Amino acid sequence: MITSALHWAGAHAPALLSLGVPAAQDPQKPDQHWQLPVKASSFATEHDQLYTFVEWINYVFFFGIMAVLFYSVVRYRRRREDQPPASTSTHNTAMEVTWTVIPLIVVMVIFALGWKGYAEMSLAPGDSLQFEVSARRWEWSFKHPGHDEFYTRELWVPVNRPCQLTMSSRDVLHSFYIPAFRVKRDVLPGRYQTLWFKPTMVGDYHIFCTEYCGDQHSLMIGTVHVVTEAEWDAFMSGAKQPPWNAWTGDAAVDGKKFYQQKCSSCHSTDGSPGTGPSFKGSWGTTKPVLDTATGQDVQMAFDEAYVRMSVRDPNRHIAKGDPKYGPPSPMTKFSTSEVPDERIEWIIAFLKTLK
Amino acid sequence: MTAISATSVHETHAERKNYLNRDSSFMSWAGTLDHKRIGLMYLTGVMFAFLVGGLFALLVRLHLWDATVDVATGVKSGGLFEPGKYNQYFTMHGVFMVFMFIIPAIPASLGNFALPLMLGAKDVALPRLNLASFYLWLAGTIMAIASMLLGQVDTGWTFYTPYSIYTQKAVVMMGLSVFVLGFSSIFTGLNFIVTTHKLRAPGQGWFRMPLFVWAVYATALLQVVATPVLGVTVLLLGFERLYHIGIFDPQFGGDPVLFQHFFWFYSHPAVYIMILPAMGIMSEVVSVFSRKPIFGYRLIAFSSLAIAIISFIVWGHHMFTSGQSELALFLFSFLTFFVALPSAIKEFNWVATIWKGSISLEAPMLYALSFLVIFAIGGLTGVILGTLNLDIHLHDTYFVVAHFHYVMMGSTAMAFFAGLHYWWPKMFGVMYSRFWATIGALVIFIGFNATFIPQFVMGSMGMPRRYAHYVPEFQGYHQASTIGALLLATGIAIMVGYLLASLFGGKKAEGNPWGSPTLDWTHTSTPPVLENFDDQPIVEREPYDYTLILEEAKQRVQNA
Repeated sequence: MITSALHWAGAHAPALLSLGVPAAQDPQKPDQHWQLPVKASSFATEHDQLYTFVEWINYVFFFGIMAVLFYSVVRYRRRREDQPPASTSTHNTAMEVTWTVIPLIVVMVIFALGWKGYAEMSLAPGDSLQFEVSARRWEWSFKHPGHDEFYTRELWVPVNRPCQLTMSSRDVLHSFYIPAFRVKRDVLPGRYQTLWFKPTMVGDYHIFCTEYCGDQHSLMIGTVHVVTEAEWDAFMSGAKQPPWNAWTGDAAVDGKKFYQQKCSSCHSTDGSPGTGPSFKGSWGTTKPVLDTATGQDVQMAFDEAYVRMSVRDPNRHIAKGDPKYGPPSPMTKFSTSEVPDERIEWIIAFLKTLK
Repeated sequence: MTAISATSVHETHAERKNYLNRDSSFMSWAGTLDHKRIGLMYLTGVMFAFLVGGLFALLVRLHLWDATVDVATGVKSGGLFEPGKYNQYFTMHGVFMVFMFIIPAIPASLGNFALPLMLGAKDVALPRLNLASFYLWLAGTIMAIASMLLGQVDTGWTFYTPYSIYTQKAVVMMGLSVFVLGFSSIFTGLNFIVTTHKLRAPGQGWFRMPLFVWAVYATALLQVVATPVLGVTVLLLGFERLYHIGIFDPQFGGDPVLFQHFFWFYSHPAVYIMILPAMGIMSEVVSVFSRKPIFGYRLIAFSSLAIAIISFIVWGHHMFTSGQSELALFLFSFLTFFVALPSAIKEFNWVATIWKGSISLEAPMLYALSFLVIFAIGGLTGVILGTLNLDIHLHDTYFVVAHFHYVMMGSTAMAFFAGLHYWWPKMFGVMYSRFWATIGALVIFIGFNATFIPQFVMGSMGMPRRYAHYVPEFQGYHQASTIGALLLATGIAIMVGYLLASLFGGKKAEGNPWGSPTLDWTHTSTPPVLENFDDQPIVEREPYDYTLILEEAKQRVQNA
């Protein structure tokens, strides 16, 4: 009975609610709740039904309480200074038991439905596609099935196939959130967390970080592209080049793209300040740095060796000029699986183009 | 005087020096042991913290008027401040409002003032500890301001590890400030527990105490039991930063999530440290302005204690996405719904008190009615958040931000304002402008809802909290919320304005202007004298007995 009530509420409430807010309706997504994002995963349907169910219970309680309250205030308003109260009853056991027991039953039902929904989210199907997620300040990187390199800020998944993400952080806490899928999971350093979903609608959806992680927390966003199964199979078979591996072969061009993925959140190319020094006009200059091995201030040439050292061991030489640069350096120490050696060469090629 | 009577004694003592004007030297305030003066100093302090915290809130809201980010490129545009500054401002808003305003606001200012009066006591049981508590608050506040000005703390008021270990800001100083403020809170709590046990007037059994006393008592238990955990947690965080002891830092084998458990083991009960005394004020104000005994006295008193106990076993609901085991999630969600019940029962009891009452819409009642509306929304949206799979979507979004502002700001602060307006004549012997108080309450109510209703909607649409820049589709909600915040600020400014104006040339207050039946109004002069009572009052009636109040009113009408 509860389930059928739930289905009824899920089916009818959005239409009733939308009367006041016609603009929120999109003809292509006819049953989107006006308070919720589009439904793009299998969890979203169940989530929105329960949300609507609880919302209606809340409306009943809220407007019920308010009706009694405001009727009383108007009806029993003190009109003469010596007006006594219309009643002096101080308790009514039957009524008090009623308004304790009814809410108790209601919240237990809500609890059970919420638990049921969560239980489904906690166990991924055995045939899920496996993805890896690496989080660091301030970017998400994704390793797609059958490909061993991380790609930053964009994730591609097929529609109607369960996908499982195994996630870990390189530095502080992050939280992986796709509103359209109604999924969220904190991403922790030194530990693996998993999350799964089954996309149900082709399209592009936001990825947000929802655990505060410092300066550019709000820029730690990305996009999940849900593609058709045919397109996905083409990526997998190699019939179509996967976008997460679409390099041009021109080192400077690919270097720029790679820079946008890995470096641009901290290092600008137009001289504007960031968490790290700007790359503008850096190449070939000599810069004052702190050598943390010796504790000495030294002059370093900004050349191939310097770039390579900065990627592999950013804490060795700290640029002078802003206390934000450290020590200790806030930069991630990139391994060869995150930034392979030839990528460093691409970046060098790109840096040479910056005047 | 041996029996309780509604006859005010203020006329007999009209020319006597009261606690305010008996001595005006600096040391008579700075070194006072009088609970009323300490209460007033606290009141000044927490109002200062509230206004500073409010200014930071305005900076945050103004920044968010137009601060967007392009998803494809990650490039931000607009906004008044760089993200780093924005992060400091929301941190300061949270720290000031939580630790310096809302935790001490009701118990330490209004509680300090009213608790001994309501118990028929000359002062709190431990007056020196009371003064020490105030100076600890002052020291903690100065340390927090120092770490704000010099250290630019940017961790959020929650200090989550490992970010708070790595950030190069004055986290240790801020942690020590919270530690000191915690002891201020413990001292107040301890004092109130002893006072309630030992200093009740003859005849005032536990079930003849006004419900405000019950609420402050339950709060005091929480303050004494829970706050040490916060103290230990911020000390451990300091040791982790300074000596890398490896308890929270994963680089040294620590567990960052352990910090969240410690933090919320205090900070969830702290939510009830904030709301319980507010509920106490509600019970007083609703009964007095309905001139009707509170409905279900015992149920309200016991639900205060129930809340205090259950609040210790629900902390995990702040961590539904942090990777706890399924069993832990099951239990924390289940228990969370049980803490919702006592709050719902209280709301029903207040409405039932108003039902068939004799309702007077004076300023305290207007704020109390605001509370009843806002607290209902805050509580019901809490039911949504307690539901496991709904919380997964809503966790750390603006929905949560709106929910806890409905409970903290909309409910606790609104009850604080109700209590402030209720005891204002008793504190200062003057009345504020009734007209401006009505306008102020209305503007605050409208401004508050206009600020936070858009936040509910953008939160459920997926807008994460603590974002210095947002994706463009949320801009309309943010702008609506900012307009609401400006309106709310206007309302607060009106309120501060007419309250201050009443101190300079406000009408002299009658002895018992609201017709209250409790000892604080019936047996003390307005404002009270030093040590409150000339003779030991004896309680012979139930706490909310309006027989004498009604007889007096009848006589006044006949005489007129």
